[in-house]
Amino acid sequence: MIETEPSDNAISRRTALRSAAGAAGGALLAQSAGAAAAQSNGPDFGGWFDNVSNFDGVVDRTGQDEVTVTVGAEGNNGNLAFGPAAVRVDPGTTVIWEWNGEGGGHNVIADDGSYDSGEQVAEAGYTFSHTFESEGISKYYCAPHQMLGMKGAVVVGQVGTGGGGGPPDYGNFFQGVSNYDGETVDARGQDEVTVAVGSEGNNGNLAFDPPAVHVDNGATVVWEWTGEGGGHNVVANDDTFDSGEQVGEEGYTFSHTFESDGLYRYVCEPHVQLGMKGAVVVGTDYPSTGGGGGGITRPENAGAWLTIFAGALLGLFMIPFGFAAYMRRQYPDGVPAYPEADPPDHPTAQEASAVDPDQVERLDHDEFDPKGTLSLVLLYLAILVLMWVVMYFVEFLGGPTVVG
Amino acid sequence: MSTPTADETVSESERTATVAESRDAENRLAYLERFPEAAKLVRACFLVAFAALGVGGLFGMVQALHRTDVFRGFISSADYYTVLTGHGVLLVLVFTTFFIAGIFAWAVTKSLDRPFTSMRLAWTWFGLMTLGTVMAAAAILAGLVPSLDISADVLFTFYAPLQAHPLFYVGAALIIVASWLAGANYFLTFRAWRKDNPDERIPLQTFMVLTTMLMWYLSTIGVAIEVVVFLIPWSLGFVDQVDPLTMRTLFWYFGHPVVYFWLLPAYLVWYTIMPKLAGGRLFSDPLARVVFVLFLLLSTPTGFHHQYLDPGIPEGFKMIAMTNTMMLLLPSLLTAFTVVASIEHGARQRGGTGRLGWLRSLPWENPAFSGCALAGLMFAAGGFSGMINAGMNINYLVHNTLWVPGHFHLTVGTAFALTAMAIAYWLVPQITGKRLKHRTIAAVQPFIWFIGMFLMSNAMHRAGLLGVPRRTAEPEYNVVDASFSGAAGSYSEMRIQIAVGGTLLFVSLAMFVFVMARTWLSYKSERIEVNGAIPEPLSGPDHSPVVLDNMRLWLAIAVLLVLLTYAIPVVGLLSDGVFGPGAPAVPV
Amino acid sequence: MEIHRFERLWLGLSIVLVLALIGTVTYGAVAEGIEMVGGDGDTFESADLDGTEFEEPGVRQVGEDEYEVYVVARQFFFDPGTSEPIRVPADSTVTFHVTSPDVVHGFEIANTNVNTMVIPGQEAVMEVEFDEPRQYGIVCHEYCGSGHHSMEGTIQVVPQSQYNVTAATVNADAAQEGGS
Repeated sequence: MIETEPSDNAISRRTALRSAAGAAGGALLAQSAGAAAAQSNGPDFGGWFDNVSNFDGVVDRTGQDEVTVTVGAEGNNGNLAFGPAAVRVDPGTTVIWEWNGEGGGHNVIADDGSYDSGEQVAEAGYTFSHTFESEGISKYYCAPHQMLGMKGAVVVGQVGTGGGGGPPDYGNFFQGVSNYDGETVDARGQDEVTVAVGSEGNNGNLAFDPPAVHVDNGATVVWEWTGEGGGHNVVANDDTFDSGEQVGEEGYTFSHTFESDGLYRYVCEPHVQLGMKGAVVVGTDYPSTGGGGGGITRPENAGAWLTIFAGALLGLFMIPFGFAAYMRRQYPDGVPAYPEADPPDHPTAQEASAVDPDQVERLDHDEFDPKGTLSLVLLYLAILVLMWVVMYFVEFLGGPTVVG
Repeated sequence: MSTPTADETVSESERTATVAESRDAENRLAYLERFPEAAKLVRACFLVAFAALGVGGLFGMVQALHRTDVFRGFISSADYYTVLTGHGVLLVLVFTTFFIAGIFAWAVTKSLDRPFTSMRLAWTWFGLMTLGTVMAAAAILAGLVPSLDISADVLFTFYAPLQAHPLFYVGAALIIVASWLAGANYFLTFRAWRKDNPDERIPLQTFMVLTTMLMWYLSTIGVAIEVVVFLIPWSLGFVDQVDPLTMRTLFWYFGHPVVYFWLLPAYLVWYTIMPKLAGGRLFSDPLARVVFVLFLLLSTPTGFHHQYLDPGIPEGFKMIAMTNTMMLLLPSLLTAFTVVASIEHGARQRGGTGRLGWLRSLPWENPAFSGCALAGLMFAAGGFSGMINAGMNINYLVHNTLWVPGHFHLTVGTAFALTAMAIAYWLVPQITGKRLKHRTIAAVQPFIWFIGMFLMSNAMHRAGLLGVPRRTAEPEYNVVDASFSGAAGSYSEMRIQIAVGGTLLFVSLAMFVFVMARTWLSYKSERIEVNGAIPEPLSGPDHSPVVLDNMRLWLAIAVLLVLLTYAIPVVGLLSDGVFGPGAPAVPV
Repeated sequence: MEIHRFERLWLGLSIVLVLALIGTVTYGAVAEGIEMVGGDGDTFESADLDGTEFEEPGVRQVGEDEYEVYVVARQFFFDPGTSEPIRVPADSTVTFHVTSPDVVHGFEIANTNVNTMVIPGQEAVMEVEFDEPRQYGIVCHEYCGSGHHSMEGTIQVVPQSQYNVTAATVNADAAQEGGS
């Protein structure tokens, strides 16, 4: 089972950091994912999912009469999400929203007013349903938590799927994946495609290479371990394939043959938080977007690092000029020649007498009893003993301890 | 020293003082003039030391801001560990060793009143040490450049199986070997002096240098074996695997006495120079010798207290290490008394009165004094947290938490570093012949360090009690965060204190580097008077038994204690395979 | 040798302090029964875990109120602990066995005294008594690589009534089969 909670928090934390450090860049990235672009391929949510941390693309739930969406799923820094955030259903399907009791009181309200679950409810097990007859995109939200990102959408029918494919829509999936550069490698026309497990990336050997690949329906993807980066596995987000226990050996392989079109996200479970994720796009029927594929990652700190480096270099460069200007001001008539080394009987540095000029009286061995010192060290001893007793008997002998 | 031809009715202390003053009158040349070659060596050592201090300190501030989540824009979290390695190595391996080599060189030549027997040897070790530094630093900093395949993100302790580039290990080994040569220089010069002065007590400063170096030789054996016999071949691929527990044991055999290698020079300053700065005289020379002998005996057989929680080391050896460590409290507590008594003497000679009122009469405006005094005060606090670390089972509470850096920033970070900076204000004019510039900035600098360290360190201690780990780029966890709650303050307030404290420390460091640079780069254009002479102690060496000077005896006992503590465990570790049980190398 | 009387007093007090400190620690060891990690665990022939108890990490019940937890620490997770919490019942004695096949890690149950180093080739054994139901976090506190700061886990001490022993063994089996 994928731990969505840590990665969601990690993603939202990184998003927050990035927007703090470089507001313009962050906003630009967030908008491009959902912006209406020139082509009309892909469901255009018009920025609806901009601040929805658990938005993971449109999950395919076609072929079912009833589809369940969890209300109160983990996301948006709490249990403030619909799980999944966006689903695709056939016309005539009934969507059942089921509350899991988490995250406080929620409701389900359509953006266009066509359905409304009513007052906020917090109990687990409560349900609300609506049958979607006509094709289109239905956006909905939870009223108290809308601003925090608790929003969803139901895509009815084949809206927004380009028959010819087009750039796949990964949503926010590749945020934090350093080796994803926006490109989906086109590996169509091959029966077998290899993806390396444990390639360089994410500040270590914690990447799939290539992270995003497009294959034909019926092709087999073979994941091959490099032996680097510790133990890895390959686990699909929608459970369609799973390589099992983490493995660290070089040459280990796992393969899966893809027999239905779609967009399959997968992760390496131990390293998902560090960005070890990948995706396989199969065939022609998959969620697509015109807007540049979302989730373009830029090295997080490039801007700041470069600025500081450049500034430091410039500063260093200016130092000689500064020093020269200063010398100019000090010696307007020109710097005097460095004095010749003085002969030994004219030293330039001479020692003063050992007696301190501030000395008022002289105390000899028998005239001095360090009373003040004694007081100070006794005080120190008292503090030591007190603190030791507190530390040992209060702090230490408290909670669970190793007794054997 | 010639027998004084003084009147019999003159008291002994007066006679000693008269002799001292007459000797002063003969030799009114400052250190620079008397030993120009040695002064050049000391300058070179200090130059490398302060450069390392500057870079290491900058890294420290970057870390403080990063791990408290105040500003993470400088580096990525993975690079944090590169910066942390640089911070550790540059500060506690390079800054310390070079500064100590410099100040020991000064102390030996000054107290023996003779130049080094071989300046060629001196420059050889200096060159070797600098070469080692450049190699190790290059390996570490290359980790920040992704296109270079070299890195050493192993931290100062370089625990296997994490593996650095061989350049790192070779560089570190060179620094250690060069320090051995430096020690050889001190011993050779001492031997030459001994030939000319067969009956005299060893001058106190030289005695301190020699005992410290003997402890250093004994202790570096462990890390030298670890690096040269195991890690260098391993990093070059000649050896397949090494046993991580054996490596840790060899490292910590060295890792505890190295902190005394840093502390004892600070003690040298506090014992022999600080009383003079306070206007007084050292309270007791014999006790100073006793303290240093105790350190020589007890410093090394304590290494297991860094391994209290290591599986594979039986509890009995840990218990022995604990009792030895607790006994090491004695020389430090004695030092507290003697040093404070000496400065009380100075204060009272300056007119101070009252049980504690004399504290006001001390020369707090003199940064050399105030830095040493504040460092000593902070060390007293550090001693307490050290006691907790040493308590075998209470160590469960604090091991590898942020408490531990809180502790050692008080000890090496203040007791050593602040003393070094303070005494530089006093010593640099004497080795360069240039007047100290910007005296006001210098006077304020130690206080800013003290405040910064107070804030940072107390928050680190408390955060450690909450369970916040050390050596961690982002100590915000998802689940564990909920556990960071405690009685004495909230975690976010501690983070702010660490960030503010760390920044203040950097500001103070910048002030120090600025004053040093301006002083060093100024012109030697006038005759200056330096106050470098040190008065005789109140209770001199003739009041102590001669056996204290018998270094062969103390070394033999020290070796015996080390064998008693380490022989059986090390044999046990090696008996199940010299290189095993091992794990495959993990290059970082 | 001449020692000032104040300093002699101070020396005496210091020796008493040192003995008192050693005494307190001994009290903790003897009276409170606190033992150090150390002699009990096995030393393996190599860091490879094949053929050891650690091949199937997890919680096992070995007695009325006694449990053993085998934890493997790797870069950068605890197994079990990270992807699923370690669950033990309250009012039980739990013996942790921790090791690592790759690098040196740390294992600390934050805000408690359960704390050990995890060294490849060595087994750390700790016996702990858990009284109240609570959730604790597990931290790796020894630098183990670039992902060190994300290495954490959870241990849940659940009320006895809610604790399902079968579930615990099922978890261990499921972990072996891959995925849970």
